[in-house]
Amino acid sequence: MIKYLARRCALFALALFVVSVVVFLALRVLPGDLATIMAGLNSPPERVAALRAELGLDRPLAAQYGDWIAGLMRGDFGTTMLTGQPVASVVGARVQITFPLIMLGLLIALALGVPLGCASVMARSARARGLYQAVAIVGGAVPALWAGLVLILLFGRGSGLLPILPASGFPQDGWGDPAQAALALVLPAVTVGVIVGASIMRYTRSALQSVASTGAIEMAMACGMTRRRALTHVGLRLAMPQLVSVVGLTFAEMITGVMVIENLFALPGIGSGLVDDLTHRDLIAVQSELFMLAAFFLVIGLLVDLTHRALDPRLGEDDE
Amino acid sequence: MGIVVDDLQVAIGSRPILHGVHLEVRDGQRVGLVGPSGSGKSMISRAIMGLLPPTAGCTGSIELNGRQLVGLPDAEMAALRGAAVGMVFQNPGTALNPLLTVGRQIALPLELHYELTADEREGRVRAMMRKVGLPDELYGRRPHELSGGQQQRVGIATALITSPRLIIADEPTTALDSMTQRQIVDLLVSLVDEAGAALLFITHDFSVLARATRYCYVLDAGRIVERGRTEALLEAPHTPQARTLVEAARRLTLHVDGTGAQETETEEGR
Repeated sequence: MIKYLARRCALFALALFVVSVVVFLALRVLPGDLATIMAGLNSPPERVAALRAELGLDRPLAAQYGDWIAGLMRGDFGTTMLTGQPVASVVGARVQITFPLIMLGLLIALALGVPLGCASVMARSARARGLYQAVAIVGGAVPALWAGLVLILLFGRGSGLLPILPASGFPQDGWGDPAQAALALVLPAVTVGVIVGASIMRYTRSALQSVASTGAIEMAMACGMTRRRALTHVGLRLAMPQLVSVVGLTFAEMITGVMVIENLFALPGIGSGLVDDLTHRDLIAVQSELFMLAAFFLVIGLLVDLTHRALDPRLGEDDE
Repeated sequence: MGIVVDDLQVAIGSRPILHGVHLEVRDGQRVGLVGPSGSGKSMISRAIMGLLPPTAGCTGSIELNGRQLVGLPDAEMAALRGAAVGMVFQNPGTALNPLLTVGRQIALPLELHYELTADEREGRVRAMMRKVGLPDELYGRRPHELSGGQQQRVGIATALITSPRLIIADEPTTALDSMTQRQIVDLLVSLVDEAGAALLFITHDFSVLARATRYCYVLDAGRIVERGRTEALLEAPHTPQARTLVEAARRLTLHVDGTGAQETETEEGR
């Protein structure tokens, strides 16, 4: 296990390095001069030259890369052009919105998707199975924007229960008033949760069915379990590695996937922030943000792999 | 007493699988059910065990020791499974729970049906492991660490641990090599006889059936087409379906001692 852990971490470091090179080169190799784009296409050449010198874009690529990485190592992700704030603190503020939103959304999705997925496998009558199928398809097909609007109209405007109107949006002082901030996240999280929940339901269903097709469920039933118990006790446990993969991937996907929802509910999160920075051509900030995102994906991949190890005794015999 | 299946009809969705099957296994009897793949053999065992998929419809009668099983709620079926009826599966490599140790797998029916202390359970499991020829040190191992033959011994031990009156073995040797097949069949037969239980042995392979049973049914396309003493059927099958199966057994395996082996040689000589 320790050998595996070391190997997996080395792989993680290697992937991180490759990602940093790709992100770095992508912004410089792509057509168009970085400084010209950032300064604006119509700005005078002196301004472009000044910006180029300021950002160090006139230096050799290797030196630029070295500077950037050295900065990352120190925790210095550069500063944003727009406000001159450190990228780290800007991203930090966005994470405080996106992360709770995703966690809450994912919890709702799991709370809906896993039981419904189980129920759709257990359903006895053809009508019930069809109903579950319809729920999964409709839930997965609903556009986030539309679902969000419906919820806003129902709860925000209609009943006025929740202060989610884009006008109020997320409190200006962030989590200064935790209750107010949490309340602002409820509707967006429900919107995300319902949509992601539908896909979790389909994954749960197919994972359970693939476990059932191995005969392990029948075996457990033959020993004296009811179908329900065999599915929930044996089936879900055996499907766990598959579900962990799905949840890990979904989680990573949601960081940028909730962009639409963030925009709709006026939440200045990571996804909408990234788009902001792109439209403001703040490419140095974008570079660091992309790297952070990629690093986060890699961390999730690492966690998923390690969880698999812990969940399945069949893995891991090769290095014991 | 025993199991009496009468006019059993099973359909998956709108597709009929079994068309009015009748068969009986009396207490202490070993009875075979033979048929080509796709004939519906496994549907019969699943119907008896209450393991039909939720999409299946089942009518007719299945009486276990006089009790009607068709239409019984799953909770009541579960109380019989692993206690009154034990089942040995075709592919132990995938049927055994990969997370359970050999000891816990074999103990599962005991846990589900009896109130025993952990020590009592372990004692019974270790005794059963000796009976099926599993070395004691395998108690804490998991299925993926065992050979195919050992896995099926775990399957047999799990089916027999509660001393059920009826054992259903659904193609228990198909996933094994021919040497192991013979050992597993002999083991199953001796343990069933020792316990005085009844055995329904399901296979597509007549040669295995000859070792395991005295009496058998031939199933084809969801209907019982022939029944009789296994030896007699092997020597003089009446129906073309049975004849095909007998010829296949003679041709393809070495299990029928004497004539079978010669047939194989002449077959190779051609």
